[in-house]
Amino acid sequence: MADRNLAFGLCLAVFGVLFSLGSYLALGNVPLTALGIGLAVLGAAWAMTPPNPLPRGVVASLVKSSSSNIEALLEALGAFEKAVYLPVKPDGKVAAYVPLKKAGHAALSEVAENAGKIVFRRGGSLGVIVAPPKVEVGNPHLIGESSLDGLLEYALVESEIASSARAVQAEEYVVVEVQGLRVDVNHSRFRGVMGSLPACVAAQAVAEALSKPVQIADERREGNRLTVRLRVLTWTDKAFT
Amino acid sequence: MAVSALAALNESRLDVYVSMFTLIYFAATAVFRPRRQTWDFLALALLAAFTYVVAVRVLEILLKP
Repeated sequence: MADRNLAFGLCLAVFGVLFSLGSYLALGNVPLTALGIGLAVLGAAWAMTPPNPLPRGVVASLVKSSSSNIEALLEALGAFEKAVYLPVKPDGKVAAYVPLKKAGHAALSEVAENAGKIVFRRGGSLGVIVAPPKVEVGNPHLIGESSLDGLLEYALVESEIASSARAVQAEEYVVVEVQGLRVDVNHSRFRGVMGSLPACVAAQAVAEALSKPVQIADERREGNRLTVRLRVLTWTDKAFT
Repeated sequence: MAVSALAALNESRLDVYVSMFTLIYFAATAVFRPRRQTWDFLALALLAAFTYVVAVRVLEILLKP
């Protein structure tokens, strides 16, 4: 069975519903009916629980180690330009394009089409496409403009990178305010190119939600609070390649 | 536990049980913050049931002659 929790939970919920119906209709006994409803609630809650929830801290350590590898790659390539976060169709994952030589010879949509490859070269434009540290555990449900806050909450709060996150969209910028930072990395090259870890995850969430390329314009940290200003780009933009 | 406690008190109103389930569910969710595979439709259903129960009780009081 692929998902034991789902199977067991559904069985318990169905049993609970039948038990409560039987108790109410045949016996007219309220406590037994309530017991059935309670079992149905318990079963439904059980069914919604993922079978292998990760222990606390595992996501953070995975994200950190992933950042170390990217730091090494960026260091070796001598990358210093800010990355552009590109949502890649059809799976909706986000890739980060790091320009090494800018010549404006390719649109961002062309870069996204080559997302499976590592090196992107078009005319004088040269860059690498890296998979940024991504939080993707359970809950792979709907993504849309209206769910921007929800997606940020999921990417940053559920993964325990921060305690809260909210976004405000204004014209071509999205300002994300992250509070209660818990995880970050100190790799200087990574921070310069990809942004800080919370900013990097926030940029991916926004790019995914808006289905548009996103670049971290600037970020400001005040104690435990981080304000990230993200520039929403267009697919035809050539200034970043 | 809630069912046996209320049953021991000879509680025979089903809405009291449902309200207790709702309160227990939300308290447990807030404390343990379990991960979910889908939207928490159960919370929505319990909240709807709780709202209905409260609305009926309030109307009963308001419309009492």
